[in-house]
Order: sequence, then structure tokens, then C-alpha cells
Amino acid sequence: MKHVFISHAGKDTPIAVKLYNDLTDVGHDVCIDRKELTFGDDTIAFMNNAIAEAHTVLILFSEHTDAAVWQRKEINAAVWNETAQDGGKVIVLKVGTVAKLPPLLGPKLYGALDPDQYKDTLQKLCTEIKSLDSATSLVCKVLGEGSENPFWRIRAEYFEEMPRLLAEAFSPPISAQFRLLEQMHPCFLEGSRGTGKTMLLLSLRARILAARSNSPVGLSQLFGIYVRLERGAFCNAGIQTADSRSDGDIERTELVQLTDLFSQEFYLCLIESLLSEIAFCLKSGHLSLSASDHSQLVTAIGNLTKAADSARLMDCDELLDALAEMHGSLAEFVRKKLIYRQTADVPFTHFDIRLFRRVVDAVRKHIPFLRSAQITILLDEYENLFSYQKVVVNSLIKLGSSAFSIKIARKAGTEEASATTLGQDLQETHDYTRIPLVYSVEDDADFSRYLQLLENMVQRTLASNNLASLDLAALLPAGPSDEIPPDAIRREVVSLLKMTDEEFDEWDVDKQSTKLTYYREAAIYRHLYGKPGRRTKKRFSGHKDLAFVSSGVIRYFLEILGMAFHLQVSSGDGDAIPILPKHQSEAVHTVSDHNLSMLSRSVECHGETLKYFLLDLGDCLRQKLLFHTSEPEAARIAIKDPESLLVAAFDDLNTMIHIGVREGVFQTVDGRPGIRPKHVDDPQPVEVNIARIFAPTLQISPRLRWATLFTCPELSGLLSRDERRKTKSKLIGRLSGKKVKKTDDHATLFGGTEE
Amino acid sequence: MKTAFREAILPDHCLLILCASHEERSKAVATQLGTWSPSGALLLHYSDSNDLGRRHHSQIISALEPHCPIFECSFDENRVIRNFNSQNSQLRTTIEAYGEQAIVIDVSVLTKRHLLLLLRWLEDYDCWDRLWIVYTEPEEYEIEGHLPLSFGVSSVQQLPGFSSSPNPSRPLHAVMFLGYEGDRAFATYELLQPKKTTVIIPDPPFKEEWSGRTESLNSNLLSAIGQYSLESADSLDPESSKSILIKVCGAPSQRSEFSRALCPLGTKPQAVGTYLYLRECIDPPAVIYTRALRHNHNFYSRGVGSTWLIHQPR
Repeated sequence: MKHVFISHAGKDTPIAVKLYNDLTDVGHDVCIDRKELTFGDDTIAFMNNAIAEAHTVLILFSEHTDAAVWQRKEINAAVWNETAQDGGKVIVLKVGTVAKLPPLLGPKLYGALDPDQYKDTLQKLCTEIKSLDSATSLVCKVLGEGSENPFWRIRAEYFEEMPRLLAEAFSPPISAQFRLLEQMHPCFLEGSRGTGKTMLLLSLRARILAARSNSPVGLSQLFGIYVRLERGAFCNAGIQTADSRSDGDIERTELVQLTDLFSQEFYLCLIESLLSEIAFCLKSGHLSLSASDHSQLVTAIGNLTKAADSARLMDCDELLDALAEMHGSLAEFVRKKLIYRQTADVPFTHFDIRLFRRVVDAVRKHIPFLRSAQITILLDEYENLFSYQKVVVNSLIKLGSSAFSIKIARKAGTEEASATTLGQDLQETHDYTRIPLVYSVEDDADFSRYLQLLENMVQRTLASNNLASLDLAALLPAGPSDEIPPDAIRREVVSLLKMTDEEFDEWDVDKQSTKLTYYREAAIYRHLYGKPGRRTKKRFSGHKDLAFVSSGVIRYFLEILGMAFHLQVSSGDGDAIPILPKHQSEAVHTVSDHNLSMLSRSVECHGETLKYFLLDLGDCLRQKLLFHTSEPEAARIAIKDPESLLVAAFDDLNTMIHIGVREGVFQTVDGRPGIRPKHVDDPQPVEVNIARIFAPTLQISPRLRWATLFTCPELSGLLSRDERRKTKSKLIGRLSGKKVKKTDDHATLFGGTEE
Repeated sequence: MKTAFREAILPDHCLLILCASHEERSKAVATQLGTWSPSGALLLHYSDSNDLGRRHHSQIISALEPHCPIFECSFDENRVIRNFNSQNSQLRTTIEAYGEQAIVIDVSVLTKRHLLLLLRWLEDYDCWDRLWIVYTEPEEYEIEGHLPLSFGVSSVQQLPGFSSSPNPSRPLHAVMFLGYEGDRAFATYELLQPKKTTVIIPDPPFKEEWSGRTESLNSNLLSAIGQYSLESADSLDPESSKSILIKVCGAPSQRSEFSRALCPLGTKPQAVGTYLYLRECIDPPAVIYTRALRHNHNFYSRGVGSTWLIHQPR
């Protein structure tokens, strides 16, 4: 992917390295030969790649430039690349006193790097070459909260004041998931960001279930209580190091205390949630209770929980106020005992699963309507918990109860934590069912279900915004099929097959047609992106195309749809709907850019590394797409030596793959990137796909027909700041089989022939 | 309150707590003592200090030495709680050595996490009623156009030692003080995914010509929030921040229908204002602290601006 390249004379290395460090510090991906070239490297190949892949080439022009043979070559190549191939922008920066600049470089002079001007020049430079965040700005503007855009509601939280709209967003297509969720057996609902986990969980919440007109179950059968395990939901003793969520550096006694404290707070939250839901349903008329029954219920739970003044509490709201004060006493204990190391008494120790069961029994006793209801605990954002907190939640699952069920939403790729406080680990199937929220868009049945879900959501959105009812296919018409002329496809396919036109003509029509179909997608990409100077973007249009590139993630599809709607309306191209293919395509590219740029901004700790890892993989796979002779569309990443992921040396890689899955950068068939060889001697390659939403910005095909084999050392090299470019260069050579030209046939700025 | 600093404004006998850092303003109070002389000084410094930080540290010691004894305390910002664990007794001994004397704390260069923890600690050790807080502005923030003070986020966590937000089944209301770190604020918003968001910008800013910078550096967040509830609070007066929190979160004696999270990403005086509100709350919001992944060391505060007394005992 594009970077900033610094071209300089050897004697100007100190200022070049300073500029490299300062630009890197403000978030630019910077390439410089002195830091990356070592003895024996192919200098010409390095220069070629560095200039070809640069969005900006900074030329440090000094009195040493004229004698710097390699810098002069770089300058000639950069200027030719910018002029003849629409390549990276050339910016000239003066270093020291320079008698005169070559005329062609004059207009490109931007500033000087002398000490008194350095800071101003650096600031101007940063403004000029700032990272492309315009896509994110646009997406934020178009899909901001409360926007007039009908598709702005891309998060479950926005539906909270409209339980009916949320309740109706899901119906037949995901009934299979609903059936599993409605059953008693505990479930882990897993998916990456934007796959609808929260929406599904919320749809079982009592207040929303009551609003579901199509629900086969009612509140008397299922009463869901919702707890969001958000940051801030539970006291934090801050004992873990800031960037680590593991328990590794906590002393055993502290860990036991922390676990006990969290357990108290967790069960307190469950009881609060149960009371909140009852209070809401009573106020909204979904439940009814006489004043005396209400009072008896509150007194009973007040006594069980030892809430202050429980005898005088009149309703659920008063009891909730009394319980809220208990949080404060826990926080005070955490502070005094664990932070100040003072002697302090534990404020209470009676909140546990037995107490919760007794509270549930009291609810059943005092609210006859709920006597047979399956009380279902809905826990969201499990991934936010520290390991010792997960242990408490796992224990609730392990112990289970006939009194209630538990459903948990967590991001796919969340660090596996199966320990419980009971000494027995959680076991999938026996203790819980895992429901991966992954729609495989390459599986016909899955894709069809996904389309039906999107159709449902879109229809309801159109109706609630008083827009004409159009089915998805009519709302998002596909563009003409001939994205590039047939003769261009034929030319690319013939070239891909390493044949002459005459040899291809000798084939019978059926064979020709088969090959043209087989390599059509690769031929389009080669035509669009494989030639110097061509910058036409790949086109995406039609509801199936957009659903496919959204990778089976609802949020991505709605972002594309919202953006396409905005582009259509703001362009004034006829009615708001249907949306023209050109706006659909532009929306896909914008949303793709936006999601890539968001990685470094919103993914904790590893976001920037993850973004560059993805960009580098994209570069490698693009070269394969453009130059490989038989397997061009190969964005399935297969790890040849998965057993190495267990070795400490590849911890970072293992972590990055898990984080990639968690953040929706990588996808797996069942949503889990674990290492699962059938036999120790026969390791199965771990395979992850790059989520298709990133394909447009990476300029790779979202159709993943072939796998590309990587070794752990290769992938690990991409994560190393020092090794990254060299590793990538080697990988590109291996994957594309492309030979680097040794010379470029163009005139030089300095006149004469090159040495 | 905010009152321009002058030597006569501070109590005669007091313990001065201050912190050395790479920012020039960290030495402002120590070098402006004039005839005011504290009884003792507790000098904090972060363990990751660079050359500039070490130089300022020495200059502070040189400025204070003729006036009073100096006690030093190093803090590792990466292990702030472990530091509290291990240095609790030293802090306590130092404060106890000065009996009931007033405490003057300069919060200019403390991290907001450290600042809030320290205020909580001082209150827990019965120092609140004799606490004076001073703050020095930088002369300028080296900032241009889109360049923020930091990049990415390292972690988003509830501030240790503060209360959780009771009943997390309620919808989340995030109240965010905004500063010059757009990534930090936007990431916090993305990770919290609040139902309702209120943003508070500094107005007036430290300097008139800085007006609009906060909005510019947080433009993506402001767009994403859409029909946001935009409020403003004085960048220097903690009482102004407390008042705005009462307006948007309700009186400290009230309970809320929301689960609430306060994100102190604005100025230090605003963080002090956040504490003034929190200490009175019966249903306190959680405080969410977002650590930046990387600071922009090229573009940070420069020079020494005005010094203010921003809180004193009633």
C-alpha cells in the first residue's frame, strides 16, 4: 500500500533519518533506503518498489545531490513516474544552500529543512500529505446519529427507544438462531463487530420480546434480562498493567480477592437488571401487579439482598436505589484494600448464585404470570472482561440452574477462557452451545439467508421512513455487465495464459469461453490496476455484489447502503431510490477506506500494527492477483506451519490473528481461528480470509478462489518494524513470480546517460 | 473558581506538591515563588522522563532548595496502581509530617488519571478541606491543522478506585470533555457505543485564538454524534465544569435513568471539575480513562503561560 518515500544523498542521512522519525511519529508509513537496505540487497528492486508504491516522494535536495548517483536515479524515476504514470506526488525540500534546482524540480519546491525552518516545513508537509481520513469524515457525517439518512441506524443502541422496530428487524431468516437462543441450554453468540450480536440478544429482552408481534413465545414463557458488560460496569482495581488483560502479574491472594469482589458485583448487577426489567414491564403494562403484591415482592428481595431499609421500600425503583448504594461501598473497599493497602472490611459477601436463585424464586412467587417463565440472562460484550471476571461468568454457566438460562454475546476471536471457580473447565456442547454469527457469502444457502435478513431489515427501514417499497434487487440495480470491453478481457486472459492470440484462436470456442469465464475477474483487475497510469476503480453494484463485499456483516452492508443513498440524493440524479450503480460503487470504496482507516484509531493497542499488517498482506495478494499465472484471486491466507503459532517466538503473530478475527479484519468459516489439527503429525493449515470489505481499498478481489500459503516466519516478518519491507518484498517476489526490470527506459533530468 | 496566581494568594505554611516533566510549565510554580515559601515540597516525577524532563527536574530542585526541604517520589505511569501500593506510606508519611498545614498541589503536568487518583487519595486521607489547587497554562500548544497531540488508543478502562456505574442494564450516557486528541475521544465513543452522548468543549479556551481547535480536532466525533448535545465549560474554572455536569447529568443528589460514563479528555482544570462533581454524587458515574497509544512528541506544549489558583478550601 502507499507510503511516503524519502530520497536523499548519503551525506544528508542525519536530516533524512530525523525527517523519517518525525513523519513516522505523526502516523505516516515512511520508507527510506538507509534504514531498510542492507548489504547484498537488490538496490534497484528496492528503489523501483519504493517509488512505485509511494503516494508521496520527498526529495531532499542539497549540494550533495549532484554527486549522489543513486539519488539522481531516484529523482529521475520519481518525476517520470509522477508525470507519465500518474504516480506519487514529488515534493522537493532544500537542505542547506543550493545554488540552483533543475528546472523540472523548481515548481515542486516546498520548503527547506534548515534548523530554523524545519518545524514549519514539517507542519506544512504533514498538512499536505495527511493520511486519507476523508472517507471516515464522510461516513461519520452521513451516518451520524439522528441523520436524515434512513439507513443511519447501524447500531443496536440506536434502536433502544424503539423496541418494536428492533423486535421486527429480525424475523424468519434467523429463526434458527432464535430457536437456539430461546432454548434453555446456555449459548455463546459469537461474531465480529457489526454482525448483529447485540440486536439478537436484545430481541430476547423482556421489554422487546413483548413488542415482537411475530414471536412464537411470550413473556410468560421467556423473560430476558439484559446486562451490558461495558467498560465502567464493574469496579476496576487497576492492578493489571495498562495494556494487558491477563492475570499474569497479579498475586494469588489479590486474584482471589478480585474474583470474589467481582462475583459480588456481578450478582448484584444481575438482580438490578431483573428488577429493572420488571419495573419497566410493570410501567408499560406488559406485566401487572397489585400494589400490595409489588410491595411484598420488593420487601422479599430487599430482605434477601440485605438492602438498606428494606422493610420501608415500596417499589422496584426504591429497591434499585438502595442496591445502587452497594456499588459505592464496593468501590470504597477496592480503593482502600487494593490500592491504598489499608485494612478494610469487605462490605458484603452474600451475593452469589444461590442468592440469585432465591431472588428468581421470589419473583416467580410474587408475579404468578412469570411462574413458568424461563428467566434468561442476556450478557453482552463478554470480551470486555478481565480473565478473573470471565471465571465468575463461566462458573455461572457451569453451575447452571433449572431456574434460569444464560446467553452471552462475545466478539469472535475473544481470548478463550474456559476456567471456572469450581476447578472444572467449561466444555463446549456439554456446558454451552456456540452460535457463530457468520454468514458465509460463498455458501449459497448461507448467502441466501443473509440476503433475506438484509431484505427484511431494508424493507422495514424503507417503510418506517415513508419511502416507496422496493425489494433489494430493485433498490440496488446492477450496472451493465461489461465493466471492461470483452476484447480487453480476452487480451488479459491470453496474457495470463502466456499464449499468443493465434494460439488462443486455435482453441475451440467452448474451451475459450471456459477460460474467459474462469479468469474473467482476474482479467478485470489486471486491466484496471495492472498497467501504469490506470486508476479506474473496480466497480461494485447490484444487491448481491454489495451483500457479497459486505462479508456477511450487517453493519458493513448498512454503511454501504447509507453512503450510496447519500451520494444519490446529494448528486441530484433523479429520485432518492433506486440508487444508481455508480453511487453504489463509490459507496463501497468509501466504506472500505473508512473501515481500514478506523483500525488504527479505534482498535486498542494493536490497531496501527493490524492496519499495516493488513495493508502488507493486501500488497502481496494484489501482486499475486496481477501477475500469478494460475491462481490470481487468492486472498485466503493459509498458514503452512500452524504448530509454530504455539511457539513463543510467534506469540505476536498469534495475537495479531486473534485480534484480526475479533475486529472483523479476518474471517474464518466458523468464526474461530483456533489451531485444530486432526492429528499431531498432520497439522491442518489454519486458514483465515481477509474480510471482503477491505478488498476494494486493498485493490484485491473479494472472490477468494485460491489459498495463499504463508509460513509463520514470513507473516511474523511483516509485523516487525525493521523487517517489514524486506519481508514484503520477498513475499511479493515469491507470490507473483515477477522479475524486476533492471533498467528504465526514460530520459534523465540531469542530462546524458546514467552511470 | 479561577484566580490569577500571585505569591500572596497562597497560605503561608503549607506542603507544596508538584510534578516535574518535559513540559516547561512544570517548573512555573517553583520558579515564581517570590516571597512565598512552602514548608516543604513533595516532588513527583514520572519514571519515563526524557532529557528535558530531567533538566526541568533539576531546575525545580534548584529553585526550591533554598526555601524548603524536598521529598521526591517517582511514578511509573504504566503501573500507576502498583505505585500507589508501594508509595502509599511515603506519601502518607510526608503529608503527616506537616500536620494540619495546607496542601498546595500543582496539577499542570499530572496525567488526568494520576490527578484524579491523587485527589481521591487526598480526600480519603482527610486533606480535602485544606487543599489548594494551582494550574499553569502552556504558552502555546504546538499544533497545526489536523495534527493531534496523540495517536491511537492503548486502552479504554474504568478509572481504578472509582465507583462503577450501577445497574448496567440501563442505556449508557457518555459525557465527554473534549481536548486536542481526536483519536482518543473517537475511539472512546466507538468502544463505549453510548446510547446518548454529550460533549463538552472548552469555552473560553485558554487563548481566544485557540477557539475552534477542539471542534476541528474532533470533527469526526462531532459528525458521528450527529444531533449531538454540545455543551461548553470554561477551560480553567473547575466550578464551570461541575456546573455543566450538574446540568447534563443531574444534581449529585439525584439518580439517573441512564448508566453514565464520564470521559475527562479535556483540560486538567476540567478534570478537577469532574472530581468536584463526582465526590458529591450519590449515584456516581463511572470515569472512563483512555490511554493514548503514542504521543506526538513533536507537537506539544511550549513555554509557560499564566498560572491560576483553581480551587481553594471553602
